Amino acid sequence: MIQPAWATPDELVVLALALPPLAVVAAALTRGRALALLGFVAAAPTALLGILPPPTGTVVEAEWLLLGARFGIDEHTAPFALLTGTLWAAASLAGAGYFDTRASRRIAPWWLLSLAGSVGLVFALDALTYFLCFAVMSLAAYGLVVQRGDLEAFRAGRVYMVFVVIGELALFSGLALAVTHPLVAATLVLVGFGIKAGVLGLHVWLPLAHAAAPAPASAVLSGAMLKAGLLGWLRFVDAGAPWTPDAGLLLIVLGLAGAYGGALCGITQDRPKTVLAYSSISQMGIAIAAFGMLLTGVVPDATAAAAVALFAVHHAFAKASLFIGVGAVERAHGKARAACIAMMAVPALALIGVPLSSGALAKGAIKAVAAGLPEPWAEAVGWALPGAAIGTSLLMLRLLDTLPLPPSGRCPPALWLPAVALAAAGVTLVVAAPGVQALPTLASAALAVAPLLIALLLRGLWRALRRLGVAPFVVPPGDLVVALELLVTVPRRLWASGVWSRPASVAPEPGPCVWPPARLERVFAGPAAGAILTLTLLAVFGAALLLSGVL
Amino acid sequence: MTGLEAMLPLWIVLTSLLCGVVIFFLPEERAGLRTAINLFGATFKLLLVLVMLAGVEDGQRYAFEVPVVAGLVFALRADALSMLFLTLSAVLWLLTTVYAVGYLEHSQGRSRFFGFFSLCVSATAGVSMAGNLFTLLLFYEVLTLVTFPLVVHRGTPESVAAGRIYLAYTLGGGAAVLLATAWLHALLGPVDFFERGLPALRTLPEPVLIGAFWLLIAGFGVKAALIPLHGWLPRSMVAPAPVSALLHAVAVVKAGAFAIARVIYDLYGIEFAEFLGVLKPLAVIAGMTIVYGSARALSQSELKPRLAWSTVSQVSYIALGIATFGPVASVGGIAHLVHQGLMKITLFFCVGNLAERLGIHRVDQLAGCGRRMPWTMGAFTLAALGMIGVPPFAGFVSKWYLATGALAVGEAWVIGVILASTILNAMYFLPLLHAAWFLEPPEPSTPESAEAPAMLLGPPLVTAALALAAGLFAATSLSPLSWAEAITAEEYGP
Amino acid sequence: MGTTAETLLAHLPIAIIVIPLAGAVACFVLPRAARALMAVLGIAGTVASGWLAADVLEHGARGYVVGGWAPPLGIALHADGLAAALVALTAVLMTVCGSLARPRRSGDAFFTSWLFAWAALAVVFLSDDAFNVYVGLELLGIASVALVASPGTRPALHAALRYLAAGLTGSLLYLLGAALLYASEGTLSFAGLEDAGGAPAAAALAFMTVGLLLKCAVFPLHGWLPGAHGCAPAPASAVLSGVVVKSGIYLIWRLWSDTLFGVPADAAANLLGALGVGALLWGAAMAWRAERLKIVIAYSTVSQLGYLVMAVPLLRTAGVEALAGVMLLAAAHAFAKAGCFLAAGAVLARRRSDRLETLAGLVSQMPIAAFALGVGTVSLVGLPPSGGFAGKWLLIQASFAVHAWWWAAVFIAGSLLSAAVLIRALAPAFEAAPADCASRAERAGASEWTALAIALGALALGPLAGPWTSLVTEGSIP
Repeated sequence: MIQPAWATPDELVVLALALPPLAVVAAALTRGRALALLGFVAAAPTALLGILPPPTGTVVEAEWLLLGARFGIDEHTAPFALLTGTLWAAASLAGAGYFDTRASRRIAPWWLLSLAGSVGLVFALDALTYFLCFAVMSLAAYGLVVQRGDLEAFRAGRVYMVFVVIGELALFSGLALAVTHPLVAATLVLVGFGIKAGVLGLHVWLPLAHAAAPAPASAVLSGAMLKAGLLGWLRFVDAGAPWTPDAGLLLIVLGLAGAYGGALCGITQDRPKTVLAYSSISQMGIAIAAFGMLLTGVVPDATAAAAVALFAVHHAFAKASLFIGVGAVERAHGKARAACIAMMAVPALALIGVPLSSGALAKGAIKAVAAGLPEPWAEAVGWALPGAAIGTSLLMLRLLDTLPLPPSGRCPPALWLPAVALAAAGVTLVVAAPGVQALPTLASAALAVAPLLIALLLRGLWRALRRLGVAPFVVPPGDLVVALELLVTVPRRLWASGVWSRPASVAPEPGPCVWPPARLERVFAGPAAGAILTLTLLAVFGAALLLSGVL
Repeated sequence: MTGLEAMLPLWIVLTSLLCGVVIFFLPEERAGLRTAINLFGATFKLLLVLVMLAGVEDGQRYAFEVPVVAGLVFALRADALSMLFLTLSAVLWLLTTVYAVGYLEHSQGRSRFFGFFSLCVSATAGVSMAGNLFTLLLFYEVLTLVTFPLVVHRGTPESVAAGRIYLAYTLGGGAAVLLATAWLHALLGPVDFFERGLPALRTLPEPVLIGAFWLLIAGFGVKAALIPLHGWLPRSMVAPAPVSALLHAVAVVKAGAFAIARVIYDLYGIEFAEFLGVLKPLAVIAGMTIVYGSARALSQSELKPRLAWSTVSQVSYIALGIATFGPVASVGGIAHLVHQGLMKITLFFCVGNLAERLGIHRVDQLAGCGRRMPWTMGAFTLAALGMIGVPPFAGFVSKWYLATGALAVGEAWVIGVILASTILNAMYFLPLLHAAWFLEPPEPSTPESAEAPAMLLGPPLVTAALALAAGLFAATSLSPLSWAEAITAEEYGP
Repeated sequence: MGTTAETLLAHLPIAIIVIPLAGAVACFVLPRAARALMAVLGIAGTVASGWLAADVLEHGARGYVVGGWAPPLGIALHADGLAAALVALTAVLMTVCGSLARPRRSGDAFFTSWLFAWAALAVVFLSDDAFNVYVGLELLGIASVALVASPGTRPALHAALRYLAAGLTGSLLYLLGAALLYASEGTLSFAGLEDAGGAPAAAALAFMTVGLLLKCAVFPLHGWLPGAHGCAPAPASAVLSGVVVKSGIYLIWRLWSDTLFGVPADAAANLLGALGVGALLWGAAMAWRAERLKIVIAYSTVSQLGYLVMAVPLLRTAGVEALAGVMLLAAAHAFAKAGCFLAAGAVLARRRSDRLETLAGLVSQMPIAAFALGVGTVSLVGLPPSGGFAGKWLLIQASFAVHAWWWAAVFIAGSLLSAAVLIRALAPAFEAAPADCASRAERAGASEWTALAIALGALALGPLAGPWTSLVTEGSIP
């Protein structure tokens, strides 16, 4: 690493951490103008630290923060810093072209707060601080999801928030239980970060949120935020505990199921961002499976972690590029639009995993790790991964379908530039990554391209079926969320119908008291009664006193 | 220590008492003079409290005692726990006075209001510094009496009805405390508060001790809004906003919770209470209150009742923390005394601002008010997130300590309570925030901001900032958390 | 100088009786100067009583023999702590309330009756033998009836007649009892009767007790009180509720715990206690139903007298501690009730009606009167830091000390009952005035300020409980 002479590693980390909160304050003071600039400046140092990381073991202690915070560099920081910083910087720039002034000012606080959380967690070394940054990031992202302000966005936001809260609670309990109930704690931590990572079953918020959020926001959502879940797993799941191999196998299954399931749901979608969202689910499924392989412990942790990180970086660049590209296509017209669509082919192919792409690199690393699994697993994974590539190919083709056809017009450079840059970055990765693979043989090249060809075939089949009148199956975006929402709305309707609520009641006015009756008091006041009472009392007292003397 | 300094506890109580008496006799029109006396009194009291705080930090012990009759001694004493509550109430009194002056600018009966306001703070100071059970009872009942006119201040039939219910509950509670106090007195003589529990108490037979304990908890639990004694709190929302703010953040409910803490720590002693087996049932009651209060808050369509039920729920965190026999959980509970006070008072200030400036009383009227009153809603957002327990706000710190502390002593069910309550909190706060920031306001907003004037805006901003700082800087030695740790260390011993 | 003071001091007991007595005659003879005489003599009497109390506190009980004729022929006065305290209480209340009295016609005998009542009370409290007490009771009865009848309205006259009937019956019964005692023991002096026992003494105790119950309106013989106290002018109600009814109770205390202590009367004492509980409950129930403020306050007196009677069994068993408590209650009640009646009188005078539903807006229009009512309520309910609380505390301690814990429960329940009743009556005062009425505070008159001052006296008895208790227990019932 090349260390600048003017700063120690600690100071660099502090700089990277301090800039985002300062950007938030600056945004409050400038009322949200210059969002792109602020975002870029805030995220750039992190990206630089990702490219030129300080040595592992650099630690910045902040005992005064919360309950004592530790920031620094560990073995996972560099790739995630790279992807987080770059994505946020690029997306901020894209925002300059995508948002108008009013939208920019509205979204500024949420954007920068989310950025702050996202950057913070990359460097957070202890669980509570990570939790803090994770919470800030997730909660602020709500503002990004509902930015459009229509009913669909609000629904997406609601679902998103429900899952954020569930995730936060799972993490809170997981962290609290860590000492006394390790197994339960580990499960909760897996669930908590898994929600963010898009594990199958916990993924239902993803499609809705991505569809509703504006394109630059979806880029960071898919690119950086999902990876925060992965990073949390890498850092805080104890890989040495007795149950981790079984957990790992479970994650492999879930991941691969997600890879296929995401693809299946995605190809039926109509909107480009939803398709991309399902693609994210699918790709993250592979990453989840890779993490599962790490947990099984068959390969040294460093190798497996490196594979996961590599895949994360690859996916981040590719997906962000695609999302920003979609944004560019929205805003562009005519030849520019066509150019954008063409440019999006690069990251798409990377995702599919054609030879010499970052995808191939990443998938190769994962295949290497998978080779170490016990027997039935290794073979299953060996077959499953290319199948997933078919799914990805179908998704990319579907994406092409859903993009609007170009009428005439122009596209603001702020939009297509970042997309191109990210795509290029993906290519650069291939070249610059350590351990660059040798030029592929013809056979392996053919194998790598095969999924795309098979996908083209399948697509042709599909179209033919539709022309023949066979109705396609349609999955609503969010798939399971529809069922979940039913679970909520039915009781709510019951509640609102007033079955359980009581009208707010004011204590009743004290009415005229009817007991004891007034007649009784007149009894006491009357002379006759008075005389009788007097004599009675005399008798009673006399008896009491006399008898107690006698007895 | 000079004689004057030794009487510092008495001076602190008398400051607001004298202010109150003077204000009573001011004519209604002398608003400027009244405000000046109010602010002067509040500031002076805060100064005295800080002086005493510095003294207690140094290790000085302040005590003021005067015998009354037949073995009854009126005793004021300043230790770490009393300083926590006292400082909180002094700071918040100053802020609430500023707020109240702004809020009630055009109201009737301000002399009466501010007179009783000052007396209320005087009584709270007395509760915090009570050195024996009799003095605690004395100020506890006085607190009831002087807060009643504040609750019924508006004079509407609902206010008066709410006031009567308030008196019914609190006088009943006071009777329970009186019975227990007289009982213990008859058996033991003077019932002083002693660090880690009064030794003479342990000589009494167990049924007596347990009976007295539950009487005291029932009596103090009325003000601390433990179920089923909480009924007065939501109804007393008809009081003006400064009253709700002070009563529900500082004075009344905290006095109840504080008194419970005193009883468990300095009368029975935490270890002895555990030995008697009374802590677990109390923790269960507190847990049920937490969940029940949050659940009822969901169904409220008006803002202030929603916050009232939220108070019912949140104050029981304190009781839960105290009743869990473990230092970490106790730290969480005691720290929450301060944290909840700061957050809840912010919420009430903001809701008061909304009602005052925009006429918003109900949840469904909140649409877009974040654009029209950004600073107010900003403070509201900070406080609401704190109540939910989002880091780095103060509420998160308390919940974390409660959860880990309870787990450390094997009470895993507490985490379930905290989780349920957090979910419910999120369910009734997040929609408010969403409506405020992301929905369009009903009419087009006027060009000039509808933001509240400085006197109404300053206090919530200060308290919101304090709530944020209490969490963000919780690990420093100035935070309420460190203070709570010091208190707990004394109580649990080496 | 020292000997002059000594001589004055020695004659204080008789002076305390003679001053108001002479004043009463003077007021009758010179009705125009009645108010001035009242003021002057009031101050003189208060000073004398205060001096006596201070002296008793320091030096112990003091006796006095009228004209040097020793008993059994002569009249002996005995001023122990209890008597001195009650005398001082009487003097203060009589003076303060008397200064507020505005009799209907300047020529009538209001002040005469007032001062006669004062003298009679002094006689009752200071006398050392049963016959003297009878004389005092008779004088007191007649004077009180005159005070009740002074407004001259039809209801007032009715109530006064009823009071008279009850009073005379009570005196008659008392006389019967005294006669029995004289027949069996041969003496009527309290000192000599201390060991009296046997059937005649028991019967005498029964007669005297029932007579006194009738005179001081203890349930169930309370029927005359609400009418009388409700219809009398406010200052008169104040002292009637404050001290006049205490005279009978004082005698009951004396008889049951001191003088006729030889009579085995534990069961009957508990019966008395039961009557006290009945008074408490009945008074509360009727006050709940009342529609006028003064009636509520009158029934509250019925209730509070219940406490004083309930203390008799405790006095017998717990002794000094119970005495301290019950005297604190009595004094606090006297002040609080006087304050409440004066405030209610002011309300009635200003607003022409004291019906509960018309009380709305009182707190903003007549804040001083409302505050006086509030402070009085605090003491009546027994909330700290008032004297009522101190009294109840001591009584509860006494009951725990003799393992009679049920009395403690009754005292606390009684507090809650009084609270419920008084809050129900006074809560409407906090409501905002109806829109058509002004809600500015009106200037408070002398009666309102006096009411407040007296009510604050009840509040002050809490912190001052120590000195008061020492005075009361000085040289009295062991």
